[in-house]
Amino acid sequence: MMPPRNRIIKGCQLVLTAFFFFLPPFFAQGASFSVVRPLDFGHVIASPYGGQVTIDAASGSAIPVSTGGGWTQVTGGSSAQIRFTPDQPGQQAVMLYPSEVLLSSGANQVRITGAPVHSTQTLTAVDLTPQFLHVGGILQLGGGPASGGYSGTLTVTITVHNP
Amino acid sequence: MIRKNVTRWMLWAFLSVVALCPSAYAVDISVNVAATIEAASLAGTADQALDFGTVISSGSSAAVTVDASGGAATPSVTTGTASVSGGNSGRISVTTTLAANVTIAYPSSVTITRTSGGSETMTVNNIAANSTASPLAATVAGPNQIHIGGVLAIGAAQAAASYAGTMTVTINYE
Repeated sequence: MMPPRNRIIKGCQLVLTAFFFFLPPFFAQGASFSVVRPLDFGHVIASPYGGQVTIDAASGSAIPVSTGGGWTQVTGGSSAQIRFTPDQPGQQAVMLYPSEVLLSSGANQVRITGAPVHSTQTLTAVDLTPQFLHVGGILQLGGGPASGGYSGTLTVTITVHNP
Repeated sequence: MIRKNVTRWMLWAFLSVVALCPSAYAVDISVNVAATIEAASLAGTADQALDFGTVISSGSSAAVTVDASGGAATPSVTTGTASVSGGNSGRISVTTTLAANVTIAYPSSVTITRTSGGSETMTVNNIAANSTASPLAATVAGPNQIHIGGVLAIGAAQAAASYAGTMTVTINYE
């Protein structure tokens, strides 16, 4: 039979062990990310011969430009912006983007490609100051898409490396 | 004894915290993506007919030309002995939602036919050479006008009458 004093100590050990067991994930998940601005390709007047609209945000915030053939014109729009708030200096965020995203307007679809090339690749926290990562891509217009408002979701997988 | 146990336990707890702290972890962030797409539209309205006017022929063959390659024009006799009055080049107004070069395809010739009392014909040739050159640099604001001319060939024994026909001009984004 364990003396009462030892039982109290064992009980405290058990409670504190449980506390410390669940604590690490909270510490580790301290870096946070939030979408500040969506990815918007603006108002595109599409040539019947197709073309592309590119947002090259690899080196910072960017706006859409018509690229790749045709007489396609674009107004408005901007790259997406995600705020990265580190919880420790030296923390590094490495982004992984999908190679293709489909946008839909009813039964019609257009493709977004090039996000891995035209977006921020990595961010390293110098201190705890929030930083921003920028997301771009290429809107592929194919052979003249149907008019409409197209929308979709691009999922960025961010791996956080602690120092 | 108690102090020793607590010290041992704290060391164990600290090591477990360090051991359980992941050095890397991943999160998924979803970003909304949007685009408003408007298919470009191109349209043409024939708002003035090509009219070779009233030609008085001498009975020999002649040619009446409307040279609209530089803009709106009126007919003139370019071959033979004849006189012409009235008439004008044709005109198509082009509207576009896209500032772009627009190609213009003219027919090589058009036949016009006596409108009543017979079935005689005449031919209009050299249409492209006497009309607005292709491509036309069209703007959204406009005006974007295509002026149409040609050369009307009048036969030596051409029947005196009114003649009419239709010309199809095809426009497209370059």
